[in-house]
Amino acid sequence: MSSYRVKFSIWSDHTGTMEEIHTTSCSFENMTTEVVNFLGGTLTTAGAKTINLAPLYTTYRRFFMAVIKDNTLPNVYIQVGARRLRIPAGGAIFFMPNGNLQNISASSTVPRLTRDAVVDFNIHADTFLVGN
Amino acid sequence: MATVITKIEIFTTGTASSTSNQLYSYTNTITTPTAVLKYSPVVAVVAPGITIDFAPLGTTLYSFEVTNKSTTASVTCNFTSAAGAQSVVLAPGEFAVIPEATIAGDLTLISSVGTAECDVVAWGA
Repeated sequence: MSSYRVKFSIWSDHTGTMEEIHTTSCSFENMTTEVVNFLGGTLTTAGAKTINLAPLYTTYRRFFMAVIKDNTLPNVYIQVGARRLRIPAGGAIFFMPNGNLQNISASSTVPRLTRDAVVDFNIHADTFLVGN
Repeated sequence: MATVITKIEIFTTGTASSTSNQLYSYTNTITTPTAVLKYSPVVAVVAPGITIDFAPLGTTLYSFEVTNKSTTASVTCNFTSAAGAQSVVLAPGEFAVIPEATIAGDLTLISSVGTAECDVVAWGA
């Protein structure tokens, strides 16, 4: 069994001084396998890149995270099941926990709009089937 | 303008402050926000829940983060993205980081049972 902790922190200088304004974390306990990582995947101009979540048992998906590492892209769309969210210009972090992933479809899709972009995905699950 | 730095880290079992067991780390820096709002605490209640007005952020919502601090209640986060109405469910203790919802859509937090204390941080321009 493995346990993981995800920590998210925010700093801002909107008050005049750069300071940590918020930090939070949550734990995912007793996971039976290592994470499924898709790190540094390149989105091409050909269109969507689909990451197949089928190897993960649906009921054991624990969280989904994506970061768009190319901050110059105007927009990148991330679709997880019926959810379609947009990463704004300048980049962003996208993190959804357990409750959402129990009901998503078998793939997530990241279309890119203008040129290649590097994206990191971390998809954690208790158990996944062969293929990863 | 303000600079907003966000960082997400994944650790294996251990303390979140240690880097020795850090599996993954990513830091994003944006310099265009003009407003950062922290709503803490927000007490979510059962349906119809409590609504947070994003309008003070301006015209663009870059991202928001919600933490469900309850140990017993789940919290449903309803908001509007560029693709329409969305819903994210947070189990007790979980958080979500959501990029670019719409300002006009606001954010509604609905507790599954009783009340659930939450933290919300949003930044935009």
